[in-house]
This record gives sequence, C-alpha cells and structure tokens, in this order.
Amino acid sequence: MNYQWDWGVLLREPYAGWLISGIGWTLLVSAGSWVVALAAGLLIGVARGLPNRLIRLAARCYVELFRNVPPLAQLFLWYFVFPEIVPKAVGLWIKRDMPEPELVTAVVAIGLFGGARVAEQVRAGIDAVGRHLLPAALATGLRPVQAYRLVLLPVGLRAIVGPLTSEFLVIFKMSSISLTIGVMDLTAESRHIENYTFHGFEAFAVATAVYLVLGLLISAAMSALDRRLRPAAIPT
Amino acid sequence: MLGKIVWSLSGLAERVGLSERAGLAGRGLVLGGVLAAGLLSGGTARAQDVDAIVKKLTATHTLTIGYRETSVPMSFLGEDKVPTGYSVDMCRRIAEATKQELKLPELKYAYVPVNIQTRQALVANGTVDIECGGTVNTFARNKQVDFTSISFVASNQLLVLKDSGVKSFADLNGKVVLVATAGSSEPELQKIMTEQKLTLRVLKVDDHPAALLALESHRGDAYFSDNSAFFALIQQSRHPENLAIVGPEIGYAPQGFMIPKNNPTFLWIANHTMAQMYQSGEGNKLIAKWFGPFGVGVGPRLRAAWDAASLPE
Amino acid sequence: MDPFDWGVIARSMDFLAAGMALSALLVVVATLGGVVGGAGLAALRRSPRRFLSAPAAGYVGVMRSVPLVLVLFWFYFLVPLAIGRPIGALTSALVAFVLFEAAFYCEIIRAGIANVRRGQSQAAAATGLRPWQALRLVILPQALRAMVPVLLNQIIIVFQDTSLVYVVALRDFMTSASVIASRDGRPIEMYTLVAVVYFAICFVGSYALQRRRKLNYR
Repeated sequence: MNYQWDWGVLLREPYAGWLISGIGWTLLVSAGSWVVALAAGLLIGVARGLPNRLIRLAARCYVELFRNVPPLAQLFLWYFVFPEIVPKAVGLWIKRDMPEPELVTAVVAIGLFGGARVAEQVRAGIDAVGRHLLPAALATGLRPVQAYRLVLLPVGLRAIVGPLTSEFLVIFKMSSISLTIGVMDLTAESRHIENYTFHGFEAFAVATAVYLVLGLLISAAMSALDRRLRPAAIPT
Repeated sequence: MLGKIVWSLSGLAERVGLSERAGLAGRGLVLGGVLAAGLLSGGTARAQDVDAIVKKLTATHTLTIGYRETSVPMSFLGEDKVPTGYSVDMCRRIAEATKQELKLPELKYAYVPVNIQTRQALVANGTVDIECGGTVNTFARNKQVDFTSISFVASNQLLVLKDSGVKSFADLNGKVVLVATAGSSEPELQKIMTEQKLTLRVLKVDDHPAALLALESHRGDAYFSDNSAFFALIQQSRHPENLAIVGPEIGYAPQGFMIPKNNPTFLWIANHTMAQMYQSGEGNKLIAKWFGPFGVGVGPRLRAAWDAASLPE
Repeated sequence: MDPFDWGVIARSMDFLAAGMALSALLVVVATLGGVVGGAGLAALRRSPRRFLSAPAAGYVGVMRSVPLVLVLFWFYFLVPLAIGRPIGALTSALVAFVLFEAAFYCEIIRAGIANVRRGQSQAAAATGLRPWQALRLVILPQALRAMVPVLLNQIIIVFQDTSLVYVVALRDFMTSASVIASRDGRPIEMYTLVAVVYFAICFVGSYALQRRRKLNYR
C-alpha cells in the first residue's frame, strides 16, 4: 500500500498558519463555552436545591432538555431555527451583524449543553455540604441568599473542582462540532490540510497531539487549582 | 526521536503527579504512532501491467460510479432515487463502451454517493471507479487522480440575492461571501481578494444546497462558485425571482470525470467514448437535454475543448 | 421566510426512517463491539505485565482525550489505506465507533471491578479459589450488577454520539434530516423534528433506567 510521507508539509505556509489559526479557534470556542457553562451551571445547580417547587421544576426541565438532545442537534437548533423564530430584525442581526455569528452560536450551544452537566455537579456539591451547613448558616441569622453566597457555594464548589475538570474536558472536546457551522477549529483545519495535500496522517496526527497536550495542560491547571482550594474544603 | 521525547515527557508527567491518564495518554500516542507507521510503510507502488479497474471488472462485472446527490443538472438523485443527470448519462455511455471493449458478458452498476469533500479521496483510494459529477480539473488534483477529457467548461461567478445590491466584485467590500469547503473556488476567491484588495468575511459551507439556504436566510450576500451549479440552485429555490447571477466570469474551470491513477486502459476507453460523442452530435444533444431548460448551450470554450479532445482515430 | 411547512416531515418519512435504522445499527454495533473491546482492554490494563498494560492504558488515554469528530475523520481516512482496499463510509464509521467506545467501556468495567470491596477478593483467595476463578465466580458477578446501570446509560450516550457521523456524510437520522433541510429548504421543521425525536428517545430511555434502578433498590 502506497503512502508518501511528508511531515514538512505541516511546516510550510499556508498549512502551518491554518493549524495555528485552528488551535486559536478551538481555544476561543472552549473558553467561551466554559464561561457560559459555569454561569448557567451555577444558576441552575443552585435552583435545583431551592425550596420553591416551581423553580426546582424549571431547573429540572432545563437539565433534562439539554442533556437528552445531542449537542450537534442543539447547535443546529441555535444556528438554523432560533434566528428564524425571533422577530425579523433581531434574527437578521444574529445572522449577520453580530460579530462572529458562528463563534457566538457555537459558544451558546456548547455552553448551555455543558451548563446542564455542570448544574448536576453543582447540585451534588451543594447537597453534599448543604445538609449540615445550611441549617447551621440559617441558625446564625443569615438570610437564605446570604447563606448560599457566603457559606454553601464557597464550600460546596471547592469540593467539585475535581469532577468539574472532566466536564471542562468534555466541553473542550465538544468544541470540534463547531466545524459544522463554519468555525475553522483545529479539527476542521486538519481536514482542510488533508483535502488540499492528501497528507492526512500527518495532519490528523498533529491535531491529535495538540488535543492531547492541551487536555493535559487543562487537567494540570485544574489539579493545581484543586490542590490550592482543597485545604479549605470541608471533608464530607 | 520525537517518540522518545514524548515518552519521557509523559513519564515526567506521571511523576509530577498529574493524572495517571496524562502519562498514559502520552505513551499511547507514541505506541500508536509506531504501530500506525508500521502499518503504513508497506511496499512502494508496484508497476501494474493490467489496470486494477479492468481486473476488477473482469472479475466482478460491476462498475462503481460515484454520483452527486444534489448537483442538478450534472448529477443528482432523480424522483425514483436513481442517479441521473448530464454527467451520469455520459458515464453510462462510457460504461457501455467499456463493456463492449472488454467483451464483458454483463455489466452491473454500483452507485456510491460522493460530495465535494469526499470525492477526491474516494477516487484516489479506489472506492469509486469513475466519479460522474463533474470535478474541475486542476494541476493539484492531477497529482492524486486522473481526469477524462473535458465534459463541461464552467467559470466562477457570484450568485446573489437581487436586493443585496451586489453587482460586481467591488461591491463585495464589507459583505459576507459564501464558498464551498474543499472546492476549487476557495483559492480563486482568495486570489481575487488579494488582487482587488477586498475586505470581506468568508463563510464556508458544505455544498450547494447549504449555500442556497445561507443565501436565502440572509446569512451570506453572495455565493462564489462555478456557475454550472447556479442554474439548478435558482430552479430549486422557492423564490427564483429573488436570485441573480452577477459578476464577470472569472477563471477557467474545465470539468472532467475523475479516475484512479494507473488505469490507462480505462482512461483510454473513457476519452475515446467521449470524443465519439462530441463528433457524432451526441454531446450537443446531451447539453440541449440537460442545460437547454436553463437557456445554456454549447459555448465557444466548450466547443473548443470538445474539438481539441476529438483526436483522429 | 415562508410559513412553516410541517408536511415536509410526512413526505420524507421513508428517508428519515432509513436514517434512523442506520443510527440504530451504529448504536448496536458500537455497544456490542465496545463492550467486548472494553472488556479486553480492561483485562489488559489489569495485567501485571507492563508490556500488556501500558499500551492498553495509552490507547484508552488517547481515545478519551480526542474529540469523536477527529476520530471519525481519522478512520474515514485510515481504514481504506490500512486495509489496502477501498472501504465504504459505513465500515469506517463502525470501526471508529467500536474502537472509540471500547475505551469508555474499559473504564466503566475497570471502575466496576475496582469498586468491589477488597475483602471479597481476599475472602475468595482464602477459600482456596485461584485468582481467575475468584474473578469469574465472585468479583465479576458483583461488579456486573453495579456496572449494568452505567453500561445502559452509556448506550444513551452512544446514541447521541452517533449523530456526529454527520461530519462524514453518513446517512443516519441526523444527516438524513439535514439533507432534506437543505434540499427542500426546510431547516426549521427538520431540525426541530430531530431535536424532538432525540429528546423523546433519550428521555424515555433514561427515565426507564432510573425507574429500573429505583426498583432494584427495594
């Protein structure tokens, strides 16, 4: 079976530039999605444990909805359906005049998908500590909001940094689906190079290596964060 | 050597207390690379006396034809879900000629759907014997696959919505231009952007129908592609009166059918059959049948290409 | 754009059904192949011999760190090249899924075995069972009982993952719907349908699993 090797093709322009730009887009999508996922996850995760039945139900619906629809289907909903069901002017702005429409759509879609998973972790973290801490905090005269803000969240969240790492890695890998709506991330650029040069092995190998290295870096950073916060976490 | 570095780095990662997965992943990468390298460094190309395709045809009596599903009128799935179109008709003639030339008792067709991103790979690795969609013959592509004579000549133009106000390339400044990934129009567009100093946003789409969708939903202002696809897109659109083809015809996009390399006999049969079609008027009839409804006939460049391909016996 | 035309769903029912059949095929093959492969990998990883456990661990590490989209591209490109023969997209995708999911099933199986209390293997050894017998008769039955809910849940995840064959244009349910969406110009109707169908199947599936789990704990 013939295959001509040419690792040098990856160092030549424009292919090297494509790879670098791909890495950049992957990081952008991942970072944006993390922020959205954290924000949504915190909100929903806390809502899941609140006394109000309606809020709990709404939060439960959010989680079930965003966990049972594949992320790709969610992305297409945001990209193809959402701009058409809002008022025409808003839809037009979303599709064209918003800066980087594909990036924003991908970040919203992947972020909200991740948010549902983060919400579950947050709920588990709060439940684990809340049983003891919430009554104690309320007994000292704190109002519920203060109890959450000053006691439950700081302590509960510290405990879930570890599980959150795997959620972040899932979101990081999920960033690759943005290529379906035109974001030229690392996976898309490696296929781009394969289309033009036919040196698929080299292109995909480099992409694989970069994902591995970035994944390790993310794990390491989260481990370091976990170690720093752990002494303050209350063992449950 | 690279392997050694990754191996030791991953060992270091383990010792420094990063997740066990870290070190193991690094080692896995090295081992995977060694394994795959072993798999892939098989022999060099063997010189072949008989075409691989001819050998396959004599053994299996089946010709694998690659077709496009939505490339009206070149190659598309008809109402009965059978591939049809200008290119498919030509390929069927080539198949009949092959059957006669190789004296096969029968010839069955196997149809494999291809798209812009996959067609080259599928031909290069031999999954498809002949790609009957019409791909632009370029020198870059010639490194990987062979092309038959020119079946159609197209050039790149812009498909726009009439109310976008785009009438020429200069109007594209500040607009969004759609282009198909892995097509031949992409580098052409980059060249125009550099030459005419245009600043615009390029939005990549997967295929022609996706481009039409993006155009009609106002995600893009213009679709830059070879114009053989435009006629069908306009026809498919629910509001064809809103679409227009504008801009000068740029570039020379001669289309042919792709055949895997190292199949000189099959290539000869294909080119010979096509030349016969051009000389006998059958080519004109096919153009009239498929492109007539769009008001397109045999243009001067196509006529010239056909004449050039009609070698004497 | 034009008013919604939900009739497009009825008109394309056959096409969509064929797509769903392909999705089902992908799930079945990926799950069966993944469980078998995962079991094999788990066995290799538990082996005391480094030359067996290290490559297995490395393989699992790589597969779990790389996006599924990239894995699909890899095998789409690599399988025909490695075999030396042209191979259809379906075969490449099946190979990719089996090899990808095997890594995840390996971790589930390993975790299941590891979670069986240490005392069990010690007690088994004390009754005179050899390690292999202990594994087969004592550890595995307990491990399996714990693993089954996680394994079943993974099936739902695999079902969602199969939608990604969109990137290699394989005609599963998601891709079939998108073909109709572009061809007939009906993205809103088709993608809403896709979301609803996937939601219905996955929600019912995970709900059934939860009820089964609750019933088991009586």
